[in-house]
Amino acid sequence: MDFAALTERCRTTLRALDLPRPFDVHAFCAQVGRDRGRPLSLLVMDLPPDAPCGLWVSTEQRDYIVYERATTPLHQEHIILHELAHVLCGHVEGAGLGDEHARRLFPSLSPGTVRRVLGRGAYSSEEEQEAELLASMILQRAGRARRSPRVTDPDAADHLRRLESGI
Amino acid sequence: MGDDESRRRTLAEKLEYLFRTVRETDRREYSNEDVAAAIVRDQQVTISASYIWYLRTGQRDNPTFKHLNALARFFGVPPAYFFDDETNAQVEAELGLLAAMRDAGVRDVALRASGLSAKSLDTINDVISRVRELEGLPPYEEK
Repeated sequence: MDFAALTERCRTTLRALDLPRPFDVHAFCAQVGRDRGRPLSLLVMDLPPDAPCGLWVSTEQRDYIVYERATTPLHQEHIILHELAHVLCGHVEGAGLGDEHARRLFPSLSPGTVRRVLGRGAYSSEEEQEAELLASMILQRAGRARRSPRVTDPDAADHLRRLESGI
Repeated sequence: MGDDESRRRTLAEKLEYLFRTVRETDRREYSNEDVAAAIVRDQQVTISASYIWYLRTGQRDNPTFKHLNALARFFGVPPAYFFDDETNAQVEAELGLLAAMRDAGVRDVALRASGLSAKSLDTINDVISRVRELEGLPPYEEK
């Protein structure tokens, strides 16, 4: 899928969302958890500099978004929204650890071994880009973005890619 | 990294670690017979259950590369796991996290970074322990 199509898909997802007013990311997470029928908890932790500053953890009954303590509230909000966007885009429907996630976490192990131990199916790619795009759009609609990204602009795609790898 | 707390493992310990961590959810560890039979069947390499037992108990510690390679393939780790300290540490960290996820009932962990250092993997392991506490499960003991 090209970037324009991805943008359109994110816009459609965004239109269906009922954002709390005034926007509050914690309230929004609680609402998403209720809507999905799976409680969603936010966990703030001290993560070392070379570790990712946000991650998503699913168990049988619930989901956790873990985010870095030592950063600005605005950055924390963005981290949380990026992880949340994976759910809103339908990337984490409980199928389990996908091959892409498995490769990131366990680059030395064969995918077969990861599946053997955790017992799993597969995911599609492009998810990071879509999640980042939707997170930006939510922030924009919530009046948080400093400038509105022109998403049809190839520079915006670049900007998003940088955001994605830099955060 | 230059982490000296992890002293060098013996071959028997390395093999034992694979048996302990690489097993299917809710299943017992593979037996020596399971592993020997699978290697003979899938890799056409001759190996016996009793030979694997000798290796696991340290009564033999000089296997051929062919045998090490076959064991590594069975468990899905790079053969260097057995003879390169850095690879050994990385694979151990990855397997430790994998086992912790399985035992905490964690089905998925999504994050943006890739190619994480053994240290970062430890951090994620801390996250899993925290989740495990919140899920009301007893703390994860590796040994």
